[in-house]
Formats: sequence, structure tokens, C-alpha cells
Amino acid sequence: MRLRPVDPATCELRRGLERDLNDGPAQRVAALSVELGLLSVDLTDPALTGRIAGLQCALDTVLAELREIGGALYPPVLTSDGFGPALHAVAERRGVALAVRGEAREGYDVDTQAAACLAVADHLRSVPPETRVGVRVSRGLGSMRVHVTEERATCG
Amino acid sequence: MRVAIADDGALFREGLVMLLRAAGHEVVASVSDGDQLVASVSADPVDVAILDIRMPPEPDGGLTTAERVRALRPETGLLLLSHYAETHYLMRVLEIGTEGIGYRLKERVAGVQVLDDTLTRIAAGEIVIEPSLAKRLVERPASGDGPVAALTEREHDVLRLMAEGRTNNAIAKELFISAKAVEKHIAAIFTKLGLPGDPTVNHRRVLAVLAYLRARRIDG
Repeated sequence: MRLRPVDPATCELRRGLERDLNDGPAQRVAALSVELGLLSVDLTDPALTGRIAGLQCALDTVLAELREIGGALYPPVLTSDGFGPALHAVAERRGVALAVRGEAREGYDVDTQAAACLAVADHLRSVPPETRVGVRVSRGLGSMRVHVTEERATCG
Repeated sequence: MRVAIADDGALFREGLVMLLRAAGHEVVASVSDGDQLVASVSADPVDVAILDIRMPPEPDGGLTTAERVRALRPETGLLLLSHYAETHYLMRVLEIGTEGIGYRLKERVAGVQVLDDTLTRIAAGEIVIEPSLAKRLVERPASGDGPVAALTEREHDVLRLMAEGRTNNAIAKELFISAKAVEKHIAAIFTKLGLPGDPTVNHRRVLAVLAYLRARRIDG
């Protein structure tokens, strides 16, 4: 199969959207939950504290959903640790077994790593859980070659 | 408890400061980046420092700052907060230290009880691991194969609580069983999974369990 690298403008857009999501709505919702926790401190009625705990649970769900979207836009580990760790993080969330081999750590620039990582990460989201995916990285002439193989665990 | 916080998100940080004060803790410093936190804890030591993983210095200033704080003041407990529960970050947190350290989702410390419990455990030298991450790590494979699938329901609960960094007493309390029963389950888990090491040394046990679970999940 042939995966197209994600173009630089799209990488940048996706990175920005993830950051906006994290710094904006996610932070606001987390702060709201703290606010509710604070409200709960002053209450003595267990029925009310129970309702507040329920609201906090609902906000946890909102944050989990935002996290899913954020992680799909731009895996957070890609920003901090690059290609290999980011793909492992995506695979682990999806329950996909992943082996990354070859020159994945060899000083590719940030844009190249992002273009390749997002293409493979998008693909990892499309395979069924428990697929075994192999990623082999080799250095081409001024490029990063990524070879992806996969094996379904069982059929039917 | 004396606490210092560093997070570049003012809204969340200020809320947490109020929550900590409401819980009876003394907030010694509330700052927006790692450098300010290091300056603060070196001048005025705290019991626990709370750090957002994603803050300046970018991209993961919380982790690099936690390393500096640990080197400067090894006795200071460290609580790393994140919007994401990533095994990769957990492993980086445990490279900084395996005692008096924790990794939790931001929204999960939004209640006084959980916040108190987390800080108390860290100050007591324990490892505190985000329960939703521990739960994901111990999930049984859908195919039903492998040693984790061979654990009994009870052993599986014990494994999850070990992966949260819980002590035997805490596991016993959570599952309403005796500490002796917990020991028996843990010995059975170590045998079934073929884990190395002494299950009675808490932080080594957490590391052995996590290394096993992580390898099982991600190595193809």
C-alpha cells in the first residue's frame, strides 16, 4: 500500500489545531471541573456533593473526547519526542502491536518526521485492533523512506 | 503540606491553588514556567511540587524542570500533570525518579479527596500513576490469549492496582480483602507473568509490572 506524506501546510495546521484545543477548550473544561471541586468543599448535603461528582464525571468524558480529537490531529508525543515514540503512543492507544525498525532516530528534521509520522499515524487509526504493524525506516537520497507492513491477528 | 505549582494555563492553575488552600495546604509558589519554579523551590523548599508537563521551556518543560528539581532537592515530591495519559510520558516520569513521584491527568485532581490522596502518597514516597492509564495497560486482549488473560478476575484487579502504584494495604482496602490475601494474589501474578524481582519492594514491583505491560502492548 502507498501512504502519502502529509504536506507541510497541513502538518502545521493540524499541530496548531491540537495546541488550540489543548490551550483553549481542554484547559477551560479542566478548570471548570476544579471550580466544581471547590464548590463541593463548602457543601455538607451528600445529595448535592453527589450531583457535583456526577457533573465532574460528565466533564471527564468531554475531556476524554477532546483528547481523542487532539491526539488524532497531532499526537502530543510527536511534538516532544519525534517519530518513533509518537507512533508507539498512537499504536498503544489503538491496541495495535507496532515494531519500528531501521534509522528512525537518525536526525531527520522536524517537518520530515511530522509528515511521515502523521501519514503512518492516520493509517494506524484505520487498521483493526490487534493488527501487527511493522514500520521500517531507511534514509533515501535527501529523504526518509518509510515502509509499512501489516499482519492481521486472526480472521473471523 | 507546603506545595508549589507551575503551569502556563492560568485558569487551571489558579483554580488548583484555591482547591489546595481549601484542602488546608500552603501554596508557597504559583508560577507559569519551569525556570521560575526551580528558582522558587531552591529558595523556599516545599513538600511537593506540581508541574504541568506541557509548559515552557517548550516542548515538555514539566519533565525537564522535574529533573532539575529532583537533582536540586531530592526530598521534594513531584506531581506531573498532563492533558494526555501517555505511557511514553509515564516512562519518562519514572526515569526522573521512582520514589515520591506521580503522573496524573489534570482533571482527575479536581476534587479535594483525590488531590489530598495523591499528594499524601507522593509525600510518603510512593509512585502515583493515573488510574485510567493503568486500566488501559492491563486491558485483556480481545483474542483472549496470553498470560494476562490467564489471570483470575481478582488477580486482574490486583494487577491494575499495582500498576497504579498502590501498596498492599491500599490494595487490600480497595478490594475489601486481607493484606495476606493480597500477598498471595501478587505472588500468583508474578509466577503467571514470569515477572522478575522481589514483589515486596514497592517501587521495583511497579517498574516490573509496567515494563511487562508496556512490552506486551506495544512491541510487535
